[in-house]
Amino acid sequence: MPSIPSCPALASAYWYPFAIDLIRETIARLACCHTASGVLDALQHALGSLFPPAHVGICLLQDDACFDLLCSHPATAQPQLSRLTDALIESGHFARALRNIPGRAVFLPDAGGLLQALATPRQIYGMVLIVHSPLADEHMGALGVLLDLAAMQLERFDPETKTCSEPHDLVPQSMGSPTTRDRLTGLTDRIQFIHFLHAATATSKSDKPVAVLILHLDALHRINQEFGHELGDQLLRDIALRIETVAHSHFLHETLGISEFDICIARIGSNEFGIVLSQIARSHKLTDTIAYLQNHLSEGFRENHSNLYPSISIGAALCTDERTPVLELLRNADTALKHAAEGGRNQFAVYRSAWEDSASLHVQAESMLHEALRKNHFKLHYQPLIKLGEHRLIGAEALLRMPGTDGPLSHPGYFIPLAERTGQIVEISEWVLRMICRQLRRWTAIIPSPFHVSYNLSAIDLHRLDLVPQLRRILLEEKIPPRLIHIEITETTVARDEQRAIDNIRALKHAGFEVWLDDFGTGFASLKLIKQFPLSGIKLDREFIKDLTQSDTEDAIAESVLEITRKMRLPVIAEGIETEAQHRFLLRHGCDFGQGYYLGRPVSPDKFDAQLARVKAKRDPGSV
Amino acid sequence: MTPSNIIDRLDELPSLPAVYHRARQVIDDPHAPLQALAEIIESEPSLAARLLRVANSAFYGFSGNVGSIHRALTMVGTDDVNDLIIATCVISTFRDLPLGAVSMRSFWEHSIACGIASRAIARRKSWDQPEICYLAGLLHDIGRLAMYILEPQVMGDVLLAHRERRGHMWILEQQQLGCDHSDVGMELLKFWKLPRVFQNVAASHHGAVPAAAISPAAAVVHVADIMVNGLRMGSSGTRWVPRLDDAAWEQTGLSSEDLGSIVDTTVDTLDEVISAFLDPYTE
Repeated sequence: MPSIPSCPALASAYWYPFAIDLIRETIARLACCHTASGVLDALQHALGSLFPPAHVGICLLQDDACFDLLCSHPATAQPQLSRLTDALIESGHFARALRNIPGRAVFLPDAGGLLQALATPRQIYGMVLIVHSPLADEHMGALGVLLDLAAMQLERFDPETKTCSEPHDLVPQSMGSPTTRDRLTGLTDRIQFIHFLHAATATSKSDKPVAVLILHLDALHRINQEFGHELGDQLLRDIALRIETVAHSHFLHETLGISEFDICIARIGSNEFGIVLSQIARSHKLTDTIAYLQNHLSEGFRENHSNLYPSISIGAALCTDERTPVLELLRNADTALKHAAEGGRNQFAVYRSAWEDSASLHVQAESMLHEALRKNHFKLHYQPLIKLGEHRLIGAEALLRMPGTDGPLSHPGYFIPLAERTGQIVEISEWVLRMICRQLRRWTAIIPSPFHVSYNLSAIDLHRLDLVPQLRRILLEEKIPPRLIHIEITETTVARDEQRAIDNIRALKHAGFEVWLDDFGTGFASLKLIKQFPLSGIKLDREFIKDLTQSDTEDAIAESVLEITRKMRLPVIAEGIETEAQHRFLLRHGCDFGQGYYLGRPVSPDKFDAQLARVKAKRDPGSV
Repeated sequence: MTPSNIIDRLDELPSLPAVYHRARQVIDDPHAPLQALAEIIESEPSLAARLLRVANSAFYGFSGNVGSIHRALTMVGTDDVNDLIIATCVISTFRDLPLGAVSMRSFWEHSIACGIASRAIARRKSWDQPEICYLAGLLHDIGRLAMYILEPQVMGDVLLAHRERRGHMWILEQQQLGCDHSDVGMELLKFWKLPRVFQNVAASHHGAVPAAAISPAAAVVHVADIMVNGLRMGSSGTRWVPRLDDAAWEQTGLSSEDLGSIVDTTVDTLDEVISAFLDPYTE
């Protein structure tokens, strides 16, 4: 640390060389400062040397627009300087000094001193007060230089004035001067966070990359509901303080090899925090520091005499290429966050481009599902359901298709689970049911005998509290009685919350729907389910049918299942009947209903119409 | 609120484990064999495991050679065993309680760092009992832990006010609660019947007593506290580096050239010792 020279006799020939020395020393000192308090310290030292007998007070402008006296030199003068500061604010001297920006002092004849703003042309940082000193004009130049230097250094730490080197569309132009702090936590807000990220990525190099972390408080909504918003707010504040402590810790700085002003911490959503770490010298240590951060957050919080252990997931993305757009970086961090959340409580993940293939497929599919709903790209195909003994058409199963798309996306086994994850399944289900109803209206006009359509209900739907009222409303609007709709559920759809599922199944049956257990025999708890759930019947999985009549074991299993269900008086539909032999076997062993390529493939409604017409023509040859 | 208010409630805090009191009895008995102490510690497997981990950490410099409690006691030495047991018991007692804005982990990081830096200073100045300085440093802010647990709301306000730069933590504590963590810390250590030297350090580590009354250990902890706060090794809540008391600095006999090696020693051992005390067992 360079030592500040002491002031020689005033107004002597030594004055200017001394002032220049002092300024040079101060520049060197300021360059080593990493904090605002460091800057104030350096400034205080310099001013103390410039005006040795004087009292020097430095006030900083706080977020609430008040000036707080933070430095007093000598320390014993603190009470006196504090009183004087209050008086000078009251008397309007502060206001006058602020009007004098840039860089001119206001003299205080009564107090025998001066007041000068600590400011750059962009931003006011504080006020410097010097009392009881023989003040000569020639000092003013040196004073001005010192204050300018300090203010410029403060500006370097200030995220508000960090310049953005590229224009971007995230901040609306009309915002003017955006609020830069989140009121609740005191952290930077989202807009400023993006600003910082832009600046950081624009200057990043591959050997000193930028990392973005997104922290998600998983249970804020539930905490607010159970404990009240006040406690939820307190929790957010505490999380913010813990994040700040860790982000400014020796461990994090040393491990990553970064300095304090390469970090920006923000609240970027109601239950989300963001951290930008720039100029990372040791990026391979990123996971160590995230684990360290998570350690501090996962130990739980004591709020209002309750111990809370909320789960906080962290997703991170590293940017090694300055050409990576900020939005992409944020999206990557968000993808990592989802991965982390899927891994369980208090997990973190760092984005890997290897995920990209499946991830981009997901994003593509998500927007495709949206398009398909909007533009009516979904189609329903119908597969005949046959009463085996009489070989009579009694209904059809509706199957969702997305024609006109290629590749894996078009496969229901892919896009339905995806729609369940994105929540789009709810909209899709409603569309499916309405289409079925409209189809049924046409078909019931053609076929006089009872004819129903079955469809698969998703797990999301089965656990909705308003499932039954919702279905009834649709049927009422479409003028279709519930008994024509058969709902198929699977063991996996039930598993999420069995009680809720049972309640809904009871309500569905009560409302007049039939409920079938699909894919019977593939899970582990099937028999238990049959016992517990008020089912209309079961659909025997194609796995049991596939090898029928080719293996004695398979035959025995199918026989015993049919035996059990017969004793329980549960009707059975055999799925996936593909050969005549299978058909005969099932017929012989008393299986009631069947479905499969041998009996009829899934076809478009038009083709199904044509088949119906043929059935009808066979039944009463006189018509048509 | 009066100072006595929070101090009267110290019995609401979790108490030190029974094994600690049994161990103290044996330690205080000059005729008791080392094996007796080893058996008492081994009767509490979690304490024994913790103790072995700490004994094997870089802090004691035996580099993983301590296989049994008996051996740990022999190698660490009888003088230091007491401190090792106190540190392990105190940290284990509070380790798993959740706090508010200051995480328990970050509190102990600060305390352990201060302990290690205090010991490094004492060794640098060739004091007789560097272990005393270590434990004194480790316990210097313990009053704040009691305040976080007993008055979470008020301490939340204090932290917020401090973050808004309204003053040093201990001044805000006095404003809100009528006493600060040095008062509470002293009373708590007295309540636990720990030796007076630790009580004194907790009471005077901010240098807010007449210079002549600062004990050598308090002076060392005062300087160590400033160093680890300045380096931001953990945090017990404060964001400001406390003011260096000139008298305390002079009493330590340190010169600024000494600081580099003290910081190096602290940085080198800190992570491992923290992990030994705080992290779940990996075996």
